[in-house]
Amino acid sequence: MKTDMQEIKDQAAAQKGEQEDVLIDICGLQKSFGKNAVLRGIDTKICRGEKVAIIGPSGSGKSTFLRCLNLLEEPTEGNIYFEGEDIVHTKHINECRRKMGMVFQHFNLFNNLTVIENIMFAPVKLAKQRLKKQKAHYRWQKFKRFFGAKGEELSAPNDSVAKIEKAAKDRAMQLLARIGLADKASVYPSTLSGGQRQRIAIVRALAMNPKVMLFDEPTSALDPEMVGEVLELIKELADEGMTMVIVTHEMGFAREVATRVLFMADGKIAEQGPPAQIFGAPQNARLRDFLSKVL
Amino acid sequence: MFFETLWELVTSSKYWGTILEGFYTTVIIACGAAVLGLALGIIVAVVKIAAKKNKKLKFFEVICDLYVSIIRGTPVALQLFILAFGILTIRGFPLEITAIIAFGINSGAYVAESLRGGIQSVDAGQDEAARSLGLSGMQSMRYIIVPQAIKSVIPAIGNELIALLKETSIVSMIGITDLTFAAKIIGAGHELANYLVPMLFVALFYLAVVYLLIFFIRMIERHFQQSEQHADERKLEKCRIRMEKRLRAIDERYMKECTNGEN
Repeated sequence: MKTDMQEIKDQAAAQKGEQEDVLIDICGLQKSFGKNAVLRGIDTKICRGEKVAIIGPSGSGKSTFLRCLNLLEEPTEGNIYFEGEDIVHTKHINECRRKMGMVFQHFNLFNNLTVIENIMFAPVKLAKQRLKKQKAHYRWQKFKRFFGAKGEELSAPNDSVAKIEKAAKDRAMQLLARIGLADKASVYPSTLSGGQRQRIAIVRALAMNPKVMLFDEPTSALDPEMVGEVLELIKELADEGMTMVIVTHEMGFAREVATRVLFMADGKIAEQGPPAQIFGAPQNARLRDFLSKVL
Repeated sequence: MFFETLWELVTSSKYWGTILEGFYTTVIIACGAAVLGLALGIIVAVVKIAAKKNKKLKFFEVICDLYVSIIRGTPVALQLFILAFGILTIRGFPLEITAIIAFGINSGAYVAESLRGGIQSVDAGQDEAARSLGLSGMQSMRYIIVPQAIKSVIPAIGNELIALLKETSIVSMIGITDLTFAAKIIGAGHELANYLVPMLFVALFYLAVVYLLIFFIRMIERHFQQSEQHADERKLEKCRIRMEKRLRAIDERYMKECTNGEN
């Protein structure tokens, strides 16, 4: 039995959620490696359509924070709610990860697959898995019906492996054409430049139609001349309304694209706000010190 | 003198029989041990890697660690003796099976270590990327990590197989007539009365098998290297060489025709 007070509270929370349209809710997130505490309690909400840039000195836990968001690092303490689901304790973490695209500093394209296979691999594999489950379910229903059980309406899965592959390939080619690398579809990643690889890594994450994109220093491992093309693509995505969380050292980019900037220091959010405020009128002493060094 | 003895060895069907029988025994033991060793090695490597992520498998990991360190820390001859004279002392138990088990267990430890090394040599980012796309740990292992690890594992496994074949020569210590022991029998005083010739002759058998093994390993390596760096460029290079050859042949034929015409 819920008490009246609780009900009211729940309603209020639901209303608030609707208003802000929270996508990821992070509560008291802590992470330590052995005795080394990297994150010391982070509370923040990421709303749909928001572009959050995370800045801060190295060792402040930016990357760890981002990696905790899709459980590549398991938090020591605290909860993360993605679309209302507690992903720290869920058993369906793989399903949650599919809705979050991640782009790494070192690209991490699959070296044993060609560019197009890199993009197609996960969508095809997962669609096939789904198809298999559907078929098994269909067979089971048929089997039950054979023995006189009344079940739900029967319908054979109308997908096929060939169809799935065709659809994924079309989508991959479309994405490649968008970044102007359609001619590189059948080469291996090792023959490409850093900028090309990173753009393909972004597109690979996009092929899963994620609800949020997590960028972990996407331009830090690139030659200066290649940074532009990658940032351009990220900016395009931002303009299309994709929700994104970007850990970056490109202050100009953060200022231009982000709707909110988080400044992290010593495993905590030291200051946050719109870029104009963070870069224009920083309050925190650490932030002022940091900005004076990087700008 | 040397060639006379060699002639005697080669032409005598009795000696050939001994050598071929010994060769057969050696090959059987090596093949059996290789199969057993690979199977054991794969199991141990899988347990060790799985135990890293799953704390429940800690017990099995300890057993595997113990197995690997004991096997690698003691001489294979001693392991063979312990098995033959200490454990499998059943009357009438075929000695060849004992040897296969002993060498299989021995080689399993080495195979396990090279498999583990190969899988760990793949960049951790590859697994992270696969997981971040929502693939399961098994899928990531099966389709991303293992295909990349194989390339570095194949040469190591090949070395292990070659070493295994040669190590089987110590089975004569438990009374099996293998290829090496056959050479010793033939060289004895009441047979050829010459050790050098049969031993050199038998060495050729070992060499032949090892070269065959190397050939197969190279073939497998090449098969897996296709997705490696610049595979396309290598293909292009091959194509270019072939074209040049063809052009040169045409040139030569043309030159010949010209000189013929002059004559």
